[in-house]
Amino acid sequence: MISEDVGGGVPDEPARDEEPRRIRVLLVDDHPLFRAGVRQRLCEHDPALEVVGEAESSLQAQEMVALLSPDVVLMDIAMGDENGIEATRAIKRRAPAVAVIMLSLYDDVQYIEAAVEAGAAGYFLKTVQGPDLAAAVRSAHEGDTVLSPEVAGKVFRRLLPRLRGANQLDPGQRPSERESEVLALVARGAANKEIARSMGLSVRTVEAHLRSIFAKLLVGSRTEAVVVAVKAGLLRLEEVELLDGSRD
Amino acid sequence: MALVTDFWPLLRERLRDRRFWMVQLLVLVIATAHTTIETTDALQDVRDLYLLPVSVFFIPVLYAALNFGLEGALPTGLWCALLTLPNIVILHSGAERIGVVLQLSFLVLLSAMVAIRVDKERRAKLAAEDANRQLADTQASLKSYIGLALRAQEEERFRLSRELHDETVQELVVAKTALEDVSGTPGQHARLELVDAALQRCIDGIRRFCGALRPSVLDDLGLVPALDWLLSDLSGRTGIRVALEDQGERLRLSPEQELVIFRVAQEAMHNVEHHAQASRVVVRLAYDRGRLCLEVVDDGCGFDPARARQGSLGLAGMQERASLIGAAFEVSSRPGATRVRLDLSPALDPAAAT
Repeated sequence: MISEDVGGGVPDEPARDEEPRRIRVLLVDDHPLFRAGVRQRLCEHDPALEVVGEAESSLQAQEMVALLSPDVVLMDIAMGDENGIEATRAIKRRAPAVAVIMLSLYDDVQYIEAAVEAGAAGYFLKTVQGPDLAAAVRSAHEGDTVLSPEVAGKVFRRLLPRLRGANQLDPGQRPSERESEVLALVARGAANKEIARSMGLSVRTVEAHLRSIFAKLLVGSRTEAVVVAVKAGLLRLEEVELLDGSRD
Repeated sequence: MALVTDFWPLLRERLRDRRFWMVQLLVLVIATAHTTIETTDALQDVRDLYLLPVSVFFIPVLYAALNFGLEGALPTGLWCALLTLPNIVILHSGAERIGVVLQLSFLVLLSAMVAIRVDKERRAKLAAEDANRQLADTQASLKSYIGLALRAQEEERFRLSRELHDETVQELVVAKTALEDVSGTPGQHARLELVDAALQRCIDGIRRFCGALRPSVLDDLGLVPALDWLLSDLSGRTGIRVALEDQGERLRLSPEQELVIFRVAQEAMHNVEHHAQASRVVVRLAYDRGRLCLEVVDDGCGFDPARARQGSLGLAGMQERASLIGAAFEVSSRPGATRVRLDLSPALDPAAAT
């Protein structure tokens, strides 16, 4: 079902040539009242924006993008058929120039990441104010990335642990010098007996060191210990020879 | 009466048994030997052992009692008596005759007693087997009932969450955004702000509720983002340091498998939050040669899995859910390291084939 406004996509305004070309917007949402609200607020705040069509499902959105070639798509996520993330992916594959802005109720960072990954140019919550949304549509059309302030905070917080190195261990969880030596030998595929011999320790002591390493790294096996140690920067990949969980 | 009506069909069946006729043949042989010994002059020296053949009858009769029950023992006993009858009448008299008759009577009586006992044991054994079968059936149906109940509960949660989110919250958003440009006196404006704030709280509240019922992340984005969502929720609320490790080439899982894995992880993290006093939790999702292993490890105070199974840690529920998809569930715990583990071989699960 294509909304009745589709035909009116090209208004009969005589002054068309003098104005810069208007930005053509497609609304995708399965809730008609919400679409009507967005349409009204967008046009109210920025006459340069023109809603050329409304779609209520993923499939319809893809058809209308092909038919109307809009500049910007405002895309809901939760829809009856396919979700808006999948719809975005499909649209970007066929029409890479279209800027898709997600307009969703979800403020979870996982959705934002999925949207970015699918090729979205922006992410806004549905409670966004009219002027902000209009500005976002404009910016997206110019090639900018746009984010709701509410979700921008989440994205920033999400970056923090990565920047600080999420895999870095606290001082208390860092293996001791002796334990690091054991770990390095484990990474070379040495059995407890060999480790004991080469370090001049008893097998029992080696086992105790291993238990302590497992507890510090929250792992249950030698293989996992080596994997986690490499990720945390305790071991370099060149130091790892044989990853074999069979000798646990 | 009941004994007779029960007895005949059993006897008829017995008569078709070859072993039964072998026993009767043995009786005949013994009876013939008995009479032969007594009537042959050459064997007159051993005639005083005349009671012995009757004792030998105990062999076939007791064999019949132990193997065939009453319906086998009684005819055999009577058959012995019948075959010995001419012998008693012709060859014995006086105290001898009475002795033989008494011995035969004991024989029949004893065989009947043994046979009745044997029958009773046999019936008890059958009843026990039957009860075991019924118990197994009940357990199986209870298990499938638990499975059905869990599935129904999940379906209901899904429906409710979707309905609230897609309808109710949408309407609230429409209402909230419609307030945006309404102008009025400062007094009206203040009241509108109040309404606006209330609507926002409603939206947030229902969204949280929906997330608790059934997080849309799982259905929309899949297992790994959903686990990530759980972890960031946990660390956001509690400050526990979290990590999600995703190793190996991802397998395709059915929605039900993803749901079970998610729920088990969720329950494990609930325990971490409320009981473990942990400072770190790691969720590991390892794919290896067609197998999937989920691990939730924390460095909290630990518990005794055997005792916790009866308690409130939801371990029984996790176990039930795991068995729904044929996954192995395992918990190990000691102070400083608690590990909840779920092992799944999708290749073994018919649901994964779709």
